[in-house]
Amino acid sequence: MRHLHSDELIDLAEGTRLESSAPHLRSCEACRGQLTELRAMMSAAAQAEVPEPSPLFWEHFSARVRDAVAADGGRRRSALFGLFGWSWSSVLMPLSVGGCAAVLVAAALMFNSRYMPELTTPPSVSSGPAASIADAAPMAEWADDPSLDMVADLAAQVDWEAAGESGIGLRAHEDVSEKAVNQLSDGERRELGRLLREELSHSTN
Amino acid sequence: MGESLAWTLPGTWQPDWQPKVVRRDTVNKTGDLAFAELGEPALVEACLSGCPGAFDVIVERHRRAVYQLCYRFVGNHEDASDLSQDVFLRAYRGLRSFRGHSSLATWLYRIGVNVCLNRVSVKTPRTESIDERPHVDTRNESASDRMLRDERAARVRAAIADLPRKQRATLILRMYHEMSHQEIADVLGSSVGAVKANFFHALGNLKKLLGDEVF
Repeated sequence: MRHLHSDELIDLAEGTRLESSAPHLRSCEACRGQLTELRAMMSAAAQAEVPEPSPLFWEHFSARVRDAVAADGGRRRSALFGLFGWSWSSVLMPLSVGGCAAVLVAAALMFNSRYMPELTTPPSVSSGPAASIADAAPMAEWADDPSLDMVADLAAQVDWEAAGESGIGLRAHEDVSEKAVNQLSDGERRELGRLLREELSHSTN
Repeated sequence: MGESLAWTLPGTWQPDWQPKVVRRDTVNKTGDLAFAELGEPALVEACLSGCPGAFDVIVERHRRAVYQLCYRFVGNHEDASDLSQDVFLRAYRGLRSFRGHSSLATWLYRIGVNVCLNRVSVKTPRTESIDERPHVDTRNESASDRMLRDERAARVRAAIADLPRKQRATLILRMYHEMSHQEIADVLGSSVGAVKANFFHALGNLKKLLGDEVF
């Protein structure tokens, strides 16, 4: 005689299998007893409800999850940068400062190539007043150039002290600036110096 | 109303567009669409595309079931609350891995079971205090009957919390979350036969733990 297996008893207890399909039950008191116990325990378990928390708990719970998700998002972003020992401020500040410096140098170079091609050879002293007026005309045009205004605005927004403290980006761009300046002719250097002095006087005023 | 306003003065310009009317009740406080009306796949999609309100709706829909699952594992409100929060946090992190092969509820239960089993393995579940017992409608019940029923329920919950891990998980998912044997097998990474055997032994052990006290 083979007793009913555990999965057969579970199917019978849950009602997914009819008792009539297990003729062994009629002749085996042990299996009948087991089936009765299983049903009784299922009934007892079904009545053990979980205490319902206060209605306020659910609102509080949703807020907690929302905060945890938000905090987790922030931590994960920080951890990603933490892998490289960076933070947003230490990365973005030098980049923005360096970017502004590069734009300034590029603008100065563009200005030289567009408006002062003759400066590659120093202007002769004998060119006279007429030549001075002709040289001054592009300067007036430069003063109205909106792209250079934008460069000046960007430079004015840079926190140079903070950039100096963070260090990384400025050093990298000093090299770039040096290389660019080394390639300038004497006249271009003089003009760049004048422009920078002018910018500095604006920023200190 | 649209018809009554569809008059024009002779020669006046007519726009070639129709005004779009957005019902006020389909827009929530943050201006997002009402996620409560969306189905599960659309909600998950909305979450993944960065809509902050969509995950709130998922939490709202499943928080009670997840909390109850956790409560049955640990047997007290405080830990159940912490574990439920952890379940949703993990769900949020892993939402991209939800393929929709099972329902969102089943997926959350799977996370819940893992969270609870890991937690329970390092921390013995503590029994609930008398204050944590269920508050149900008892207007048609005598005080002594109510007390008796509450005590029985608390004993059963405590006994369930003392079951071996897989037996406990199987019994909880089968009895209280109405999951099929196959779904439980998927959650626990076992077979249907193993699930039935676990359920059988869980009920047998429950009988041993409770003795005759609940009958």
